[in-house]
Amino acid sequence: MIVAERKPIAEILANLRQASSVAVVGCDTCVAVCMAGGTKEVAVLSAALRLAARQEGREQLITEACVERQCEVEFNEPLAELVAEHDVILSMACGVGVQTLAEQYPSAVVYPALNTKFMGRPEELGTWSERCLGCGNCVLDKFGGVCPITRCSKNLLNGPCGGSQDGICEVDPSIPCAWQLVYDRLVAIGQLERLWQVEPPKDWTTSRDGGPRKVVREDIVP
Amino acid sequence: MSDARDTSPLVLIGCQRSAGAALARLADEGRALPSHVRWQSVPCGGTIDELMILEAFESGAERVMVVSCAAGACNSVVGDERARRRTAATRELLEAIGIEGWRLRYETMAPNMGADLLRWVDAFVAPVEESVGEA
Repeated sequence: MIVAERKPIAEILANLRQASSVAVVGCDTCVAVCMAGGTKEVAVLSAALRLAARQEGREQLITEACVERQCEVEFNEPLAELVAEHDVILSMACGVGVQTLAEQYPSAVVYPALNTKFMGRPEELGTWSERCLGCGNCVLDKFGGVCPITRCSKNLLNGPCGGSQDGICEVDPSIPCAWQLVYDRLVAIGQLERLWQVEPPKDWTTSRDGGPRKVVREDIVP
Repeated sequence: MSDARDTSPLVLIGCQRSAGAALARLADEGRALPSHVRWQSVPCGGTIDELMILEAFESGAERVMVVSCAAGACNSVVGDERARRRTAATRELLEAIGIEGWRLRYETMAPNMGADLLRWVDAFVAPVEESVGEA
């Protein structure tokens, strides 16, 4: 899922002080799971914005809304009236949702309330960690299901580096060495011989180096 | 020490097993919270969150006191710790929007500490240095 976190309230407020009405629009998918932009977080931020306006002596209408998937226009269609009635749309979706709203409603002022961080998973309550960079050419089959592109601090495809000590990355003691994880997994599934294969330099044209990416399924497009 | 009592609206959010039980004991003795204090009972301190506290301020409270069970006494094991952390996070948020942090206070208590609770409510006023500055 996409993991995000709320921007500092001061940064959010800086964009809103001139607006007489703000619609806070959340997304009840990924950012709800990471407790950053779902219905509950919309209520919290809206309450904070109302209090801030009261504190600063400003008259400002704050309206709360949430859609199931802000990254798909169909889910945002019911927002048309709300968008038309407010000066600013404060999106609590990931960057994809913010841009979808902005594209869908060209005359609307849409601001982000979150910083989109990465694609990852929840490790425990309140902790999410990165698992995928979206490089466009998955190599998880070669490394026992552990992605060295994402989880090795140096993105090494032929690791480990000399900084791995007792299974810990030299960059940060809270980061497990991805190559220790790769090794352990390959031992566990009986595929350690895969490490004899020297990986060539990665072709990054499938990642961001090739510009904005698009997937088109000719068998599906109308 | 200031002898000025603050009778502006105060919301007291607390666990029914500690603060709630304490208030029940006080009632048996014919004592109660002052009229400017609104009691909001929750089943456990672990259910107290940012939204509950912000809504208390939105409803007109000038001060909010969060009370959970003492460390190690929570019936749900970690409710007091969650209440403490969430209160601290909410205090940061309040300060970021210009509401003084002292207006949100966190305490822990046992059911036999009703007298302490009344004293805390009575003493829940602006810090002395700020009062002097405003004078």
